[in-house]
This record gives sequence, structure tokens and C-alpha cells, in this order.
Amino acid sequence: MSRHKSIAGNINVISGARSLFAVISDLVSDGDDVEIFCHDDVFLPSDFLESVSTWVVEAERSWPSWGIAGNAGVPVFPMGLGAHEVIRFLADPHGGPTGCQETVPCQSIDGNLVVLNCKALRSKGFSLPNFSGFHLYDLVASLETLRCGLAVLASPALFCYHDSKGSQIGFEKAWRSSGFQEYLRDQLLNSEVMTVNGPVKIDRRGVYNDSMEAFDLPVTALLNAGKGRPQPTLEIVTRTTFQRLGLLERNCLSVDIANEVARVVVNHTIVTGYRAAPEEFCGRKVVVFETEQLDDRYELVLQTARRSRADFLWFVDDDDWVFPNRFEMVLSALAVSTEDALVCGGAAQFDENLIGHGDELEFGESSPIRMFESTDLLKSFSGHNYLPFSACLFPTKVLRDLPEDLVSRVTYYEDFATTLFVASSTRCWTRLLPWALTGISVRSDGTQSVSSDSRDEWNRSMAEFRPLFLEARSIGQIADVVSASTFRSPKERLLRDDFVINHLVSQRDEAIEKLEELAGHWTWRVTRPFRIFRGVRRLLRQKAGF
Amino acid sequence: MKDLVVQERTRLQEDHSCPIPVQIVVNALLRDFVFKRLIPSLLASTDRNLEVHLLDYSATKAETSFSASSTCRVFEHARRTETAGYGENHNFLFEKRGTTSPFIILNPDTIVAKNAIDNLLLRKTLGGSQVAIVEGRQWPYEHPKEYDSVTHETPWATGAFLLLDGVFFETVRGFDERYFMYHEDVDLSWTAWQRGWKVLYEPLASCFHFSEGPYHRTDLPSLEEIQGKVNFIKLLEKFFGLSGLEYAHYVLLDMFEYEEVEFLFKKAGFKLNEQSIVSPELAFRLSACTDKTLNKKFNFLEMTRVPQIKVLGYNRFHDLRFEN
Repeated sequence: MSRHKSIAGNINVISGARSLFAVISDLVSDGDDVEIFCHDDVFLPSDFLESVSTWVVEAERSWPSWGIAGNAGVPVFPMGLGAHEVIRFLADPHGGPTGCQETVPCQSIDGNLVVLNCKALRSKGFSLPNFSGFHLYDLVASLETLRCGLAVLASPALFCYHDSKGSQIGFEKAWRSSGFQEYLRDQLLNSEVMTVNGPVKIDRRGVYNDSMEAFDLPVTALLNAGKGRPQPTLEIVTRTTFQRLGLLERNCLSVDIANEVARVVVNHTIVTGYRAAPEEFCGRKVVVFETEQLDDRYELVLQTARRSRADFLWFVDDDDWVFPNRFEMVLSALAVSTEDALVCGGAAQFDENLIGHGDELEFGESSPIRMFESTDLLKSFSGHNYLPFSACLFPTKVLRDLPEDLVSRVTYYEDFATTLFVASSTRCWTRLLPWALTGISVRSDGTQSVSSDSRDEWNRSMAEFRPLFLEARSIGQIADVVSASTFRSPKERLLRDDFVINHLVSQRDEAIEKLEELAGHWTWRVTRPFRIFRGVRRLLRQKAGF
Repeated sequence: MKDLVVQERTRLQEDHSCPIPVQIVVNALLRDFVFKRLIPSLLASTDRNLEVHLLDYSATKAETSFSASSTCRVFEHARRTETAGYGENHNFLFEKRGTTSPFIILNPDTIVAKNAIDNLLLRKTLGGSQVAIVEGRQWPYEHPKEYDSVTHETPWATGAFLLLDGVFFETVRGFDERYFMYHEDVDLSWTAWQRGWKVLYEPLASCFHFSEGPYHRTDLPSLEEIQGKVNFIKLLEKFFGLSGLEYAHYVLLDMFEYEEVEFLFKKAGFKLNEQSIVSPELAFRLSACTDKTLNKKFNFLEMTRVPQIKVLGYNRFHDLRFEN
């Protein structure tokens, strides 16, 4: 109270409680429409009440399904180039905030400060189990909020300093308790969940929970957060030269299946610079762009961005395909993102040996080679591309700012350039979806630029990246951080170590050479009798004990 | 050989007298998909007439039938069966149909490629008599198990897209219903080999099957993962008896904690005690075996005399066709 004199009248101190579960439960059942719970060791900013009030009004509008909110939490998917699994809008003895500037949907939040939408929680029958103690109440409150169909959020508006003296040992002991494990086994389908204090493993003991009540934590958190929010529009764009019709048909089929499975209709457009293209293919409109470039792959990207009215663009090349399995959640991820956020997923690469050519395609062997993970996006700033084009959903309005110089000169690596440009131009944190969005076909039939022997065109394109570095707002700072960090491949680290070692060896050799030069000079040689005399004198003094 | 293929293709195209039954077990979520996507793809996969037999286990429906096209009739069977497994449901459909002609089993989340069913039928004919099962290729996650490039023989066939011989299926009484889901396809294949039938793989018969493949979420145990452990025990016990249980215990203990292994055995219907074959002491003795003595101890080929029936590790019943 003494630390917050200006708002002391709004503070109700609860002392002697044996269970924070009970405290939260009572607040929800008996409190006002919105209640704020916090620890006694938090330092709130002087305008805290105004900030929270403003945020609550904004949350009602932007996050209609919000149930509880805090200032630190586990986001529904990793966020930011650093692939953060915990977002912090607070400072404490362990560190500072993570730097994100927007409200983030979460799987769970930290309980140092919790804003409760009691009205919504009551209406949905929110209740907490009858546990005692002061650990894990925040995780449980988050789970029960999600069970009610409401969302869990973390917001910078709730920033504070938490002078935490909490015990990690206490947390570790608490989540391992048999009672809590049983609770988690009953509530969730997961075998492990992430919390602000670290991972919590759930001992499933080989049992598959087929109860209708159990839910998948990250997926439920994502879906709940999107309720009532406007759905941004997405356009899938396939670039093609109409040389591989069988593969193009496969590409279209995958989008059709995705639409069926997700029960939505996402626009799918085919774009090309091929003048003799048909008007329609597999029921989609074919857009022919007039280009003067021999290799128009990048021009197609910019022209599509200028033409499209969709909020997000997803480029999937004609020999690749979308995975329908997670399509619904891709759309949910867009619903909880801002309109200028870069959204990246994974891509699974397949080694294919196709039979047949052109129109009639027989499928041959197909073997998954590797998975490109969205969380590797930051590594792309090291100078090597880690994320395929088709793994990214680009905000259209940011794409429209692609430098014309870049587009006109870069051919290969157009995907790499675009990803770097958008990732470093957008104000918002990148969303990193932890599942495969697309399948990428790699073949040795000579029809792909990625498998060509000569790297000349790749190298030439990379040389044209200058406009990217001049016009992408924060690319310099990001590249600076990456080069100073350990985000390098093992080979890069070895090369760097090799470079350092070579440098030190050459310095040593230089020093030896210098010493030898000095030793050979007459000014040094002439001092030899005096040096011998000094050496003998030192020896005699040592023997005499001086 | 080429003439034989052409002859057989022609014969198949001309033989419309016997429609090909296709069995699909579906739930409410995939029902629309089956009607909008899967059934139309079946029409393009063969020149033969089709009979699609659908079992929607998520609801009780009246028995109905209608024509989806001039060459395809759809039969919807009524049975509320949330607790019945994959094998049991397909056995039900087989009995309901009442014929022993070759038939197709298909997962509801697939789309069949052009000519796929005709290619399965062709492979069955080219394989000679006694072909029990022909498996189609799944795309993009093709199963990497071995198959002979000349004979197309494979140790076992995955149950997502199969052509089955009806006489064989009736003789062996269909899928073994002790498996709720997973491993019943391995069981059926091994049964075929044991009784002198063949199991083949036809790479030219493809279906789209967008499963998770090897990239499933590690924080979310799947039914396949759980059932896979239990059914591994059941499968080995059925075909190798006590030795099979010993091997299963040895392999599982190498991968999981003792308490979990004990739980899995219980779930599979076997209790761990000193009288039973599996005890911590035995597991310890087994763990001290070298690879050589282990192979001698668990010589499955010696036990069955069927080279196609092999166990190379936990849920590994085949050699790999290619290394990733």
C-alpha cells in the first residue's frame, strides 16, 4: 500500500490465505466485472489503473473472448525472430521484457499480476479445483479459462516490476506432485506443456486420453483467442510457366482438399508471365502479367502484391503443395495476428522420382528428406536461406514496398530477399507456426533451378541484394545481432574459429620475426657482455639468498 | 510380358459384369469430404463399375443406397460403433456385403489417383494365383518399406489403400479384432504369408493421403503411438508365443521406463510376475546379451520358416527401401 499511495484506495489486501486457488475463485465468483490480482512484491507504474482501464476497453473490442490477462506468458506459438516461447512484459530479478509491443494470445500466463474478466468467466461457469498452496494456480487458471472457451492474453499494458523471490525448486516440486499430475492427465491431451517457469511434463503412463473433456492446450488457446476477431483474408498464389501441368494440377488439388477440410474457401490464383496461358485452370482464374524480364519469378511476386486485395499472400510454386491437415489453424493464426505480421510455418522437403511428364503425371517414389522449421528464420540473417518461400504468409501491404531495384535485378533467391525484407520491415513480431504448411518437391529431372549444378545465377542474384540493405528498415540491426551471436551453422562456427586461429598464429609468427630481427641487430649484440654479467650476478645473489 | 499386360488391361476394361466393392469407414467430420472428393476420385481410378460401402460409425443411420453415377452405387450401412476398431468395422462391412470378390479398403482421408484401382487389379492378376493383398502407394508420405522390384512382393501391406482377395479374407475370417487400430494390417499380411498367399506392392496405384508422416508433434501422443506399443506386444505374442513376448519386453524396456512397460503389458493382457516370462531379472539377463546371442535367441525365421515375416526392432517389420 505504501508503495502505491496514489491507488491505495483501490487496493484490497488479502492476507493469511492458504490457497491462491481459493483466492482467485472467490474473486471471480464475488468480484466486480473486472478484477486485478497481483502479488505483494510487484511495483506498479504510476498510471497503472488508467493503463489497465484503457486496455480492458481495447480488449473488449479486439479480443472479444478474453478471459484472463497477465504480463508474461507462453504464446500460442513461438514469436519473434528469436522464436520466443515465453513473452515477458515485466522486469524482475531474472531479467527484463522481451521487447514485443503488442497483446499476445497465450497458452498460459504468469500469476504475478492477473486481470480477470470475471463477468465473462462467471457466465461460462469458470471454477478452479480445490488445490492448496501458492504454485501453479496461474497455470490452472489459464487451463480452466481455456476450458470455458475463453482466451488467455499477455499485454504490455500490464507492465510492472516484480521483485520476485519465488523458488524454482518449489515450482518443480509442485508440478511433479501426483495430485497435480492426475489433474493434468485428465484435463489435457498433451504429454508436455510449456510454462513461464519452464516445461511441465505430464506422465501419461501410456494412456491415450479419449475423454471428450480433454483438450490440446496450444490448439485450444489459439482457437479461443481468435473467437470474435475478424478473419484476415488470405490468397494462395501459384506461380507457373505451364510447363508442368500434372504437378500444377496436384498443387490445385491440395488447395481444394485444404479448403474442404477446413470448410472455408480461400482464394487460389495462378499467376504467370506465359502469354499463351489459358484463362482458367482447374477452376481457378489464371492471371497473366506482362513482364519484360526473361526470368519473371520476382516480378510476379511484386505485381501480385500490387493487384491483390487480400491481407496476406501465400506463394506456393506449381510443383509444391499445401498440407490440408493444419489449414484451419493457419487461418486461426492469421486471425490472432496483426495485418502487417509475417507468419511463417514449416515446410517438408521430399525427394521425388516422378514418372511421366507434362500433362499426364504418374506419381513415383516420394521420400521426406528434411523439415524446414519456422524457428530457424533468424538464421537466415546470417546470409544463408533457412526457410522456403512457401513456408511464409506475407502481409500484402508490406510486400508492396519491395524495392523495384531489388525485384528487377534479383532472379534466384527472390524468396530469400523477400523474407528478409518483410521480416525486417514490419513493425510486428513474426509468428512462427510449429507445423508444416507445405510440401516441397525436389527432383533430379533437370526441371528445377534448385538442383542445377552451376551456382552462377545464385551468386549473381545475391550480389544484387544492395537495395535490400538500403531500404529494409531494421535489417542492419538484425544482421548485426546475428553476426555477433552464436546463430551459425556448425560449419560456419568452424570456419570462424579457423579464421581466428589463423589470425592468432600469424600474429605470433609476426612477433617472433620481429624479435629475431631485433636479436640480430648490432645494437642488441653489443649489449651481450653486459647481459651475461647481469645474468651471472643474479645467479650469485639467488644462491646467497638475496 | 508386355503383351500380357496389354491383354489384362483390355480384359479389365471389358469386364464390367462384376462391380468392385470399396469399403470405407468414416465419421461425421470426414463424411462431406468422402462424398465430394473421395468418391469422385474413385470413378476416375477405374473403368469398372463400383460399389461403395460406407460405414459411418459416428451416428446411427438407416440403411440406404443410391447411385452416385451410372457406374457407381453407394451403400450406407447402419451401425453405431464408437468402440469398434478399424478391423472390426471392416469385417462388419465384409459380412454385410456377402460376396468374396476382390475388394478395396480405403481410408476416408484419401483421394485416389487416376487408374489406381485398375493398376491394383492388374498387379493382382500379374502376381499369379494366391495374391491375398495388393497395397497401393501413398503420397506424399510413401511408406519406405522394401518391396521386390520384379515380383513386387513386400513383407506387409499398410491398410490405408488395399486390394484384398475376398476368398482369402473369408478363409482367415478377416482382420483380427484383438487390435483396436494399427497392426491389424501387419497381422493380416503375416497370416497371408503363413498360409501360402502373397502380399504385393503396386507403386503405380497411388492415393493422396495427407497424414503427419514422420513430422508429428512430440508433445501430443497420438492414438497410433499408444496403440502401437500395445499392439506390438499382442502381435509378437500371437505369432511367436513366449519368445515374442520376451523380445517385446526386451525391446520396450530399452526404450521406456519399467513402469510404463509393465502398464503396456497389462493393457495387452499380460501380467508381469515371476511365473510369467517377463521379470526384471529376465530383462536384465536379456540386456546382457550381445547382438549375436540375441539374434540366436530370437530367430524369428527359424520359428516361422517364412522369410517375409520379420521383426527388426520396435514396430519394424521390414527393411528400408532407401536411406534418408
